[in-house]
Amino acid sequence: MPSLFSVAPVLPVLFALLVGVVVVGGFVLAQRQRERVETTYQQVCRDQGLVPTDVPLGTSDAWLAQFELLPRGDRDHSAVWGMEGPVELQIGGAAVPATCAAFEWWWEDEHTSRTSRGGQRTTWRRRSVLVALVRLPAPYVMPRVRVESEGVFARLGVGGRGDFQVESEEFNRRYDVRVNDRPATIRLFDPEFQSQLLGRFEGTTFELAGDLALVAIPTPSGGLAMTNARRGGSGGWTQVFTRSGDRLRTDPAIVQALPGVRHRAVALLQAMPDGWWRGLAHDASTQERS
Amino acid sequence: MTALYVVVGLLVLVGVGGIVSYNRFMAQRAGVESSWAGVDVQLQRRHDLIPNLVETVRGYAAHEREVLDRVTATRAAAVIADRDPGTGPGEQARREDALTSATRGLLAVAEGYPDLQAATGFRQLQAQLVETEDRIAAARRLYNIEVRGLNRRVEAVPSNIVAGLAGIRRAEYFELAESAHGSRQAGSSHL
Repeated sequence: MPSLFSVAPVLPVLFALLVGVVVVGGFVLAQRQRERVETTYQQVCRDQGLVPTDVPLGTSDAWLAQFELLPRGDRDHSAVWGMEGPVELQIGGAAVPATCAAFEWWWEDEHTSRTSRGGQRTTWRRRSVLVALVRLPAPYVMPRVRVESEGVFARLGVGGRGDFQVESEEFNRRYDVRVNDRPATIRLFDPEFQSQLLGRFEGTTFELAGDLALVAIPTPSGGLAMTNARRGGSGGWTQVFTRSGDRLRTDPAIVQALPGVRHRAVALLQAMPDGWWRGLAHDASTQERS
Repeated sequence: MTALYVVVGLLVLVGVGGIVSYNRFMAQRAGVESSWAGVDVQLQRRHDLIPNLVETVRGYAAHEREVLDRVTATRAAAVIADRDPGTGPGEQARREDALTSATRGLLAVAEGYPDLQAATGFRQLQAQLVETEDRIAAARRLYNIEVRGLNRRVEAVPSNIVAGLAGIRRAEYFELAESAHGSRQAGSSHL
């Protein structure tokens, strides 16, 4: 029977081995996940005839963050898995060539709470939306319009001041619309387009500004995923591992969903009334003449 | 003493509520007036456009005097109503409808003249007319949305009490039957 003295040195070695296996295993799994997503990304781009890009339509992360539908978060934000290519829009009774990009926009929100030992615990949550960004050619220059789902209080009739109102009560309850040019925007929200936003495009959030149209759709997981936690003992702050801009956190299903978001953006633009497009083209030609 | 504080507190609350409600009425009334000004600008734009249209058609179809005169007369009636501050949106709408009907008659006549249809000036005028009709429709919808907001508060409790005391009345909707290029003016079905 071996004595305790001969067993004792083996335990730390076994423990170290176990830790090593876990670390290496984790690294290998992460690497495989990375490869899986990367492969899916390349394949989706190839199948759809799209060009992979880190800068959708040549826009930087800072520039994209000017869209109010794309939150900056408390720590970091970025566009990932960008893919772009030409599209032909049937708008105002004519075929209009445009460019459309799709990507995942993620950001990290900070949440702070107290621990049982009196310390502070901070967690960052990675949230994301799937985005399609369409650049229209001249002469289509749009006023600023932001459309998103109405908040709970506004639905109950509390607050919601400054919300652009249309004829449909149901539309007003469901959507919060912010605009900078009311006469121009009323042409967009004709009764037909209002009913489309309540039916076929229900829950779609979009933002128009200049020659760009942005459509944002929450990620399939609801746009929420815990990325990392910080533990604090006695009020201290301890950073736990997380690399900002980690592409690994994306599921391959999100990458596969991006072409669908592109199609949705195109369909939404094509559903906009002819009068809206006519007005934009006319305003541009009037400005040109003056 | 406590009862007195409660009564005074309630009176203050009612007073503040009344002031807030009154100020909101004033803002709504300003909104109705400014959106009516938007309608007015577009109507004037149409009134300015029609003489050019009449003259262009006359150049190719001078013998269609009856149709041309009808457009001129209905336009004059619409312009007079527009310049008269006493004319309400209902009366203005009736005169604009008459003008619309006459303009549609003119455009129908014009279809029988291929040379006129091919003339660049006429095509440009037609395009401008379509654009103006779009603008009128948009301005009218904005105005009616403002009117609906005001009218709802004039009728609802308790803001109707403030409206009654301040003499604020319901505003009149501006409804048009059809546009000159033939489509129905959309947007009134929800009102």
